[in-house]
Amino acid sequence: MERVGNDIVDLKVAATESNWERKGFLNKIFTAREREYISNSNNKFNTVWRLWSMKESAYKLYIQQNGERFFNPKKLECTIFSKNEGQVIVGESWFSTSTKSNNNLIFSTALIDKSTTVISCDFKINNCAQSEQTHSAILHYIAFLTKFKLSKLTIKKSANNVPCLYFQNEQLPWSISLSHHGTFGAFSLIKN
Amino acid sequence: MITNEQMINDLSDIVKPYIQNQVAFDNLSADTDFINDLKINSANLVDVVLDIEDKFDIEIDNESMDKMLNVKAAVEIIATKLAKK
Repeated sequence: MERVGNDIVDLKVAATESNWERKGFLNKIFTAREREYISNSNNKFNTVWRLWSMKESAYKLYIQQNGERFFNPKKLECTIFSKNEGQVIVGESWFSTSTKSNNNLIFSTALIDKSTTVISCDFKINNCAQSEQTHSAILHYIAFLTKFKLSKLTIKKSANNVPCLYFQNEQLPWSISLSHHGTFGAFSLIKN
Repeated sequence: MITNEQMINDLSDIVKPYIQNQVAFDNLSADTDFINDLKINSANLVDVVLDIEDKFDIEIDNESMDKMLNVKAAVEIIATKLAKK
């Protein structure tokens, strides 16, 4: 089964919520090689959050494969191939990442095989009940795609906090990933 | 010797600026999960770790941080690090 993980960063919110220049911050998150990417970049702030979103998207994918949650950002190491393409290594797993970025947001998607067809979408949300809005967006989209009745589609989180799609009470073999931050929401899906 | 209760109090002061779920924060217990319950965003969890290091004057290595997903695990790690001081 193909799987997907994603992560969106609202850059305006990231600038106020986190101080990446705080002493010790980069060292806790990034390997020496990743810190090199940051120090060599003309836009350090963007590079910090691009690498972060790559790690987060890969983490979400890794958890679907391997189960147990952990908090250890350095266990995931990023390689940047181009403005959009990259790779994250976690233990024995290698994931391909694709990143979209503009002045407002950075949105990364991680896949096991980069040729997999994935539908990803990012959108504006209000700054409250963000998770509900993101759920609603993907369910509306799936209802549109499948002609399933919206009211019969639900998302339930597994014990590892992985979102799973259900039609009535039956789990559908789709892989979905949801993310929201500040005023942006995003979903990614693979129809298996 | 600092008690577990004191440690949870200190921890609750540390996480307060980063929480996004007030109800879960008001009911903070050993089982409270930083991300699932308090809805702390994972980048701010790094700040929580740094604040813990500053507050208790300890260093939390990556292996210890790996498990720091809830209050109980954080208290255990702080206690272990303090004992080694």
